[in-house]
Amino acid sequence: MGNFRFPIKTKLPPGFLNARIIRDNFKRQQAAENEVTVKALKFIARNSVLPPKSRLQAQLQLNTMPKYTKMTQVKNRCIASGTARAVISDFRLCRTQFREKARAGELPGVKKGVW
Amino acid sequence: MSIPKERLLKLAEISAKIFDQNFNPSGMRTGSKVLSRRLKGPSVASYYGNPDFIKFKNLKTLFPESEFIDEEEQYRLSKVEGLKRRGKGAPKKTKKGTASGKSKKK
Repeated sequence: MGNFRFPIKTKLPPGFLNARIIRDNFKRQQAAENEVTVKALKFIARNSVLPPKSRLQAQLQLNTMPKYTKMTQVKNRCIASGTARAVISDFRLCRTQFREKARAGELPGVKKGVW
Repeated sequence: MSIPKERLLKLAEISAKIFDQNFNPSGMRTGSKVLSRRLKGPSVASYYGNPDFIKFKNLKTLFPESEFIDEEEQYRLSKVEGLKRRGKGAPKKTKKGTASGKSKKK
């Protein structure tokens, strides 16, 4: 069991799991951990007041960081089925799961529209 | 009567100082756009929930005195038993080395 799929070991989230959820969770943890560093480097690189050399260095350092440290890699997925399409972000569910759960009364405050 | 531009600039500078805002009359790119954005790391990381949330299988080790019944697991087991009784259960595992199901492709 020594090998882990990703370069840095992360805890598995509770609930439904599949390969894509595990991958996305890994990216989320890493992006959150490196957020401050990425932001600081970005600030240096975008600041035209600073000397060009340090700006270039910051940009290079940004480019050498792995992709999973970037916020843009994160994708909202359905926590009940892992689907990445038609995810209602307020409920973190895809449309079919949202419908099923709402009909089963598992989402407090959600009612079927009747008019 | 018009107010000179210098005076207006001075006013803007002082007001920026008081209200803790950026004063940048020449419109230079200072990267403040990057810094002023809020950190969204914690909310992004907790999207799938707390990984230390207690799972059912851990309950017994936490509370060894009391008994717990996993209804879903029990239902699944009863289903499997029923299938087995009717001869529809999962096939037995083949022994190692003996004929594997598929022929190897070259």
